[in-house]
Amino acid sequence: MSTQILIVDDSAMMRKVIEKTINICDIDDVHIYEAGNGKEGLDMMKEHPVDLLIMDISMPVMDGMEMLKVVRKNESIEALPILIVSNESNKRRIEELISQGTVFVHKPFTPEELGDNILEVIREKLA
Amino acid sequence: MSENYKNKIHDIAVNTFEVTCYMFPLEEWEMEDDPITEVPKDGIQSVVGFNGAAEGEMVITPTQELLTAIAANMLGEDSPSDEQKSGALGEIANIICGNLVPIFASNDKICYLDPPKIIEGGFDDAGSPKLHEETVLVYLDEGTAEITVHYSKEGEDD
Repeated sequence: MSTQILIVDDSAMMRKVIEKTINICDIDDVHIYEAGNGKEGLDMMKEHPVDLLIMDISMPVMDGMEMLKVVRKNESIEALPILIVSNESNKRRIEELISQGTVFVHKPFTPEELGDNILEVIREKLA
Repeated sequence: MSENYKNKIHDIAVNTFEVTCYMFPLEEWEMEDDPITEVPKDGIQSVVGFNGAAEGEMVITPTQELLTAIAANMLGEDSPSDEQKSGALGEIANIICGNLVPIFASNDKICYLDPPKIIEGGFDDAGSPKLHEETVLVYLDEGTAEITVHYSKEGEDD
């Protein structure tokens, strides 16, 4: 069974960089979906249930904070593993995100750093 | 204080280029006899505005060879398209600006960033006379970038 990953980021360049990182990770049979903001991401998850959500915080239409609230309030996806990839530097905001059960990866990141976090989250879900 | 800000801006930019694009700063002995002191503004630039605990904008201007190398290294492609170059520059600007705004914000207050804009043919950086300005040049093994930050701290204009 393949691993379904959704990347939500308004930067097409960053989605591509994250996708490349996933592809060099040792994950068998992975399928990647992409969305440009939180609303698009939520719409996509209705049609394609995912195993891991990787998202930015600062986005137009619906930002990552809002999307996170919606996901955590929805019984069917409340426990979804979420990896935040952001340049957010405010400690209180980062602590708030981590307290909601997310893994935070700060930009700039190395491919190894992001890859290790993705693998760890997927292994925990499959354990 | 100004030199302190310049050093922090420089260090954040170098770290971002190093981690994201595998580029390294030139040592003094590696610089040409007559190093670039101003990057030509006729190419593309990226501008990121910020507000909240500090207000202003950051403008990044790369040399042509650096612009191409940023996209090529981020994507692992030899000949990136113009669209990819713009996207890569915007992302680099976004990362640098996100990391530097806390140095202008007091008591860990929040700053909000606007999405990066791409400007072609020269940004009007006249700015507001009330804003401070810092400009640094970042010399890398794949080209040079000029970074200018216009900023005011919270409460300064009250």
